[in-house]
Amino acid sequence: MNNLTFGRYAPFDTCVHRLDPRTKIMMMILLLVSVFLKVNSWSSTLITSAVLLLFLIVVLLISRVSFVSLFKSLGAMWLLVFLLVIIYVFIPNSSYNPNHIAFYIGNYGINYDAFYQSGYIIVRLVMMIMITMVLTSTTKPMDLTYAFEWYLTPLKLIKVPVHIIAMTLSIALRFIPTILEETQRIMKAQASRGVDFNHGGLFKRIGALISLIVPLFVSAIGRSEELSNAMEARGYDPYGKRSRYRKLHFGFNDLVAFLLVFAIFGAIVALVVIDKNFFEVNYIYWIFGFNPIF
Amino acid sequence: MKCIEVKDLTYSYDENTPVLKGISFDIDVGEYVSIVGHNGCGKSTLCKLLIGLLEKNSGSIVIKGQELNQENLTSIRNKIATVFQNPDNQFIGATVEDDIAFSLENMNTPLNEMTQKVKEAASKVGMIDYLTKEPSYLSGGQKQRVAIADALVREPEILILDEATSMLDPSGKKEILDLISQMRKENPSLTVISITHDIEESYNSDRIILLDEGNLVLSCSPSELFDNRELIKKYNLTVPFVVELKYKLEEIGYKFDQNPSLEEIGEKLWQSK
Repeated sequence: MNNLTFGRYAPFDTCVHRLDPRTKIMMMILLLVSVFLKVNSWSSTLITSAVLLLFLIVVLLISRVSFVSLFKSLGAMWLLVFLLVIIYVFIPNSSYNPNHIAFYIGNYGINYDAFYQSGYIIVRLVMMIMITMVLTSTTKPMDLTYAFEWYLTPLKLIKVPVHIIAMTLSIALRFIPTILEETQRIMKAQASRGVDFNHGGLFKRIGALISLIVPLFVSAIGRSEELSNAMEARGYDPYGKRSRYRKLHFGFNDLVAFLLVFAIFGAIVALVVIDKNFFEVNYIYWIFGFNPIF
Repeated sequence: MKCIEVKDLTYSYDENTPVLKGISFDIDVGEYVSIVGHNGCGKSTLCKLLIGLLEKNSGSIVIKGQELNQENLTSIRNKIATVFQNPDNQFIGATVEDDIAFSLENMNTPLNEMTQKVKEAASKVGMIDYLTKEPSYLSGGQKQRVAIADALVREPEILILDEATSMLDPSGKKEILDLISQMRKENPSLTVISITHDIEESYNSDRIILLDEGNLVLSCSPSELFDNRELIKKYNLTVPFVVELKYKLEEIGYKFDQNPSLEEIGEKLWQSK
């Protein structure tokens, strides 16, 4: 169960934890858009990425997200990164400047731009992971469902049963630990009957998995029936009027946090829309004394 | 006044295997009735019929003067609270407080009333310190106590226990039974129907209803049942420890009153030579 720790809720009491989940979801969307917006000039890209990265690191520190689990999840991504670099380096791209050849492999010229592009993609992926990690490790899954329900409320106008979807979702979340426990119990029971989950060829392992999945499904279906009985016995009527025990509260802190993120988002959008290089100075030139790209 | 009147109730899951073959009984207000019988005798089916989770084939169920049917199902269900067997599968909320609030949400209770009632019920069952805990951190007995708290906030007139203690260890079982007798003390008009395998548990009830293969074969007080050793033999029942002890002592010549407690038996032994 330990490999499921990525982005799992960490019960601290920081100001990020206390924010309204609706605010956090909206901020996440804004930040993701900011990260993936393509700013035109190269130096603006560098500046905006640096600002975003710095901002995210500060947020990670404030919300006490563990950097260890961040690096672990990055470690799981190495194959993706490797493929990205391969694709960017070896696939010819007409947008690369043909004069920026770094070196030749046989007759094929490898472009500096390719490394720059793949590096940029990797940085954006890392930032994406950071953003989602902050959301999931500071917000209880149940609060996330409440927030989703709130955002989906307008769909009620076109007769989408939003509250039923939200109830289904929250019950699914509630039963994850129970089903995991059950999985382990069945695995132990089957192992004691001689099923080997860890060794053998592909087909043997798939066979072993079937001995886990079939009883798991049978018990899950049995559970769902008992659960629906219990819900009905406790007066649950999906189409009746229900009050809410959990009320979401949009406070002053939410407003401040939202405005901050919105300012970052707005600045980046402005950069894209105005489409002009504000940062004429070429920082790379300053640092290295030469410019490999321009 | 009658609380529940059941008349000629039949039910079958499919045509060839009737589960209930026309049973009739009455239950008074404030009575504590145990329904006992072997596996597959129709106990749990009877419970599901009483709360309208299954629809009867024929016969009638009258609860508090109202015949149970599709129209008044909701209003009748609001009078009944049910505690089921499996502690995990009736825990609906994410945390203890959410779970207790679930029934109140269904009754459209306003928020401030809800918070107060949740706290009251949780402290009554001794779970006030666990309000924000998730079910995976609770023992089976604690989860079942939360289920009782759910039942409490519904302010029921009838409490149905569908083998509520059968998955608990002895101490968990005792906690739940103590809670129920406390509930009955606080509210004498509470009718309790306990569907149970546990003969010790039924020994403390006012009346035992014995089902056998879909028929009601006996409805009498525990002491009447356990005095009748032929019946015990005929339906192959296990008897509570006290009763068994009494039987054994009677075989070697002791005489007891109808329904002696362990202390009374001890007293008798102490006084004999």
